[in-house]
Amino acid sequence: MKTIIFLLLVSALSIQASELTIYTSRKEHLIKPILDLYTKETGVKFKYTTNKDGALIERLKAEGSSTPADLLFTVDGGNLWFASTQNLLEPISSKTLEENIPSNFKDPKNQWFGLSLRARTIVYSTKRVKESELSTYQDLADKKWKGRLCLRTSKKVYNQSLVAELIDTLGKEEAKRVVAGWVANNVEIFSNDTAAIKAIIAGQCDVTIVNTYYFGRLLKENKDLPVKIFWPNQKTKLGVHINVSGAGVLKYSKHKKEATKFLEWLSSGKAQELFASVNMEYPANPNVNLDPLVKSWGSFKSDKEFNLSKAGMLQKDAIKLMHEVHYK
Amino acid sequence: MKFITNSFGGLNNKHSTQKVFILAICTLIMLPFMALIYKAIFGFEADPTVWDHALKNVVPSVIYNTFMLAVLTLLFSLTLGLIAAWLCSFTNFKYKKLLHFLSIVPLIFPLYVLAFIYVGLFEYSSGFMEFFRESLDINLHSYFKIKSILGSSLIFSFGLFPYVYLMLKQSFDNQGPQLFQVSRSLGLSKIQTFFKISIPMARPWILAATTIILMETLADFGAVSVFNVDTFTTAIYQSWTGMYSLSTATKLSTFLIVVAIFILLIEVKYTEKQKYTSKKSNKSNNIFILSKSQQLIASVWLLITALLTFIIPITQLLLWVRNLITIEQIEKNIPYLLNSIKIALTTAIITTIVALLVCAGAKLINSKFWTRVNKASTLGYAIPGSIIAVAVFSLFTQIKSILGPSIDQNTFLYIILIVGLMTRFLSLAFKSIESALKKISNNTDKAARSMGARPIEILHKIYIPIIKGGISSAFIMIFIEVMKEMPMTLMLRPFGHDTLSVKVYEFTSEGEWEKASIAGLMIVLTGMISVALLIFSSRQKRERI
Repeated sequence: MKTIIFLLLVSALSIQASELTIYTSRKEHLIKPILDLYTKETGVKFKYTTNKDGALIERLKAEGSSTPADLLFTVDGGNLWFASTQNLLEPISSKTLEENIPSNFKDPKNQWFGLSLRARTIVYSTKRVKESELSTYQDLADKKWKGRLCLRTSKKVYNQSLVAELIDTLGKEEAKRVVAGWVANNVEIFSNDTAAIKAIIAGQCDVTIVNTYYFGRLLKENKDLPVKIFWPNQKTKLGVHINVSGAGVLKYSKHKKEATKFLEWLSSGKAQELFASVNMEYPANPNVNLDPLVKSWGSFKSDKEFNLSKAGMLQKDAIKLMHEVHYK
Repeated sequence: MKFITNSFGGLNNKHSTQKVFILAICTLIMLPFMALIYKAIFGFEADPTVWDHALKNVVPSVIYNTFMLAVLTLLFSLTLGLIAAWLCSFTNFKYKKLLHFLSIVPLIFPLYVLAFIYVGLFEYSSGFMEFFRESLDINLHSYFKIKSILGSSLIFSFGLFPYVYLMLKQSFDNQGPQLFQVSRSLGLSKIQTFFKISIPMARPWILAATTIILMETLADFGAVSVFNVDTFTTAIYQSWTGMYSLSTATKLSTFLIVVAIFILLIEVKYTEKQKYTSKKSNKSNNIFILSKSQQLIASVWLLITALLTFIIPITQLLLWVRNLITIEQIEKNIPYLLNSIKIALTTAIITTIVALLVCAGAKLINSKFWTRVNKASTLGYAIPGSIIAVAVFSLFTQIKSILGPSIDQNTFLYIILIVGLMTRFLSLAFKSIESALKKISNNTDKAARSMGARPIEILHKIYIPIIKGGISSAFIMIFIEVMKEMPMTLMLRPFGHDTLSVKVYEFTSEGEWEKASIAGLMIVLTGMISVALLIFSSRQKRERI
């Protein structure tokens, strides 16, 4: 009798929590395969809506305790940091998550966790640039790159978090000098990374700074691209700038346990592999295998002391700095 | 129906029902903005340095950019629209019907789609530019930069000139050949008549088109992002999402709202005194008889316009689609198409009815004050969709939390999405219906009322039959606009209601133009069918649009 009651209770609970609602800025085609896998394994279903981070956070603030959402997924650490400052996220104490996700890729108060890493690195023309010419992000401000540098718009959060890390590591003055140098060397600003890489292929410029998966996508279309990846700042403290695509459980979620379980699942094994590989990103869990193509780009070092919440904190300063030096 | 009857019932209390209705609609539309402005002024500001920074480093350049973009877009759109309307209304040339269709049809393109097509085409790395470099040894890129204010205003005008064309053509067609006969008998030449009488008579329509273009340009976010031109909307968006200062964002939006009010006031001031009535003629309007070579020039000019504004963009979309299209891909997009159509139809029906009721109401009241109050409800057109979305969402969520959880989340979202879209596009329905109503003389109203007709009867028996064309064009224009709309749909769509424009956003924000092209093409094809219906239905009624 007891077991029957227990089973009934369990099934009642699981019915209640058999659907999770996600607000996500990670696009549907980059998240659906993972959600489908979880549904297949556990029976938990998902409802989700995609949008830009700002709009999702504003929506959560307006909805307050009546929100139907359980989890927030974003494509950068800054917005997760901002969500945490707006009192939207719930601190999660989970051994699994703590073991799986390195401390610099998660919130110090465990309000959010990075799930995949996005390395923002230098890409160069193999025809017009020798690898030995390249060294650091700062070096791209050197006059030798005049008319040879293409950049994505400063309005994209990936560039903002890169500049935020530069401010944190180099100090405001030096970071400003570097970014001003980029602008002085700049050929053209692009609205996305793909266009910047294509500009190199076409010969408009020689180097640019992009997230690796954009390069990977082009490489999948054509194996013999005259373009290669370079890992900058390997001999300095800075290292390659990393941003995360990550998630947090919402403070007003009605299914916190289920949501936490789902996050734990995402941080381990097969899910990690799939989460990263659908978009050729790096898994946040260092013990998980890389996508073969991603692996072929070699290993790199990043600054393990730089926590991404700092990138969020400094994002405002980064934008101000970029306005001041007229980086569009 | 009862609702309509109520709105127009009771003449004896001096149109109080109409006034209440106009006020209600105005409140529904203004309230979210008022709440937003209140927040901007009195709201909590986490970091006041953001506003100071924006004032110093951002505002001056975005004022300049926005102003230049608006002025140039207006200039180009008026030129393209005026020439096309003059040719198609007053002259004879070959393939007129086809070229008429081609002058309307570019309005089916969302501006962001035109933007990414043309940026794709004129980017240094494009095949088109490579062809010029390699085969002809010309680096076109050094002569023309598409990602500039000039480039973007040109592309904007490609998508917006059909509004000028539609408005002016409607006006010219209504003038009729008698006008020219009379003025010729008074000794004016045809050309003099055109400039001294036709154009001034078309002024309300020109102003209406001008307002549409200025408002569209002010509110655009998607296209300027592709061109990387910093305008008010990008500044609003960046201070909101990048610098996390909703307060700075709302202050900047307030500025946009003020500019929009200013534009509306100018429009009202110059159009309210004018009452134009004219007889429609069934005779052909071919007043300027063109020689063979002139006819050729006319056809070629319109063909070049069509080439730039329609044929090139649609060819590019088709080329992108060609690489990807499979039955499976089409099937995948069908639910999004259905969602788009559902939202667009609902919004178009509701918005057209609301616009008809408020415009007819204002006409019956016949007072300057109420015309102006009425006009205020069209303000939403100049405000970026994402701002309307935030304003509407914040306010109605608060109202909902007071009412309790009686409405489920999806229904709630659906309702506010429709309210938001109506806020944004009421202006368009307004333009068509109001300018159509201008054709009806106030004496007609007086005569009808002296015979004891109630307002609802006047609306039903006199207004609606006369302005059918205006009503159907309002309906179809809103349908098309909602199909294209992105930021608001993105924010307010209910769960499981992804639309085609949402899909376009998801792919283009990742720079994957090709993958976005199937959804993009579906928007465009639906729009084409709508435009064809518009033209067909107006032919049926022997009335030109």
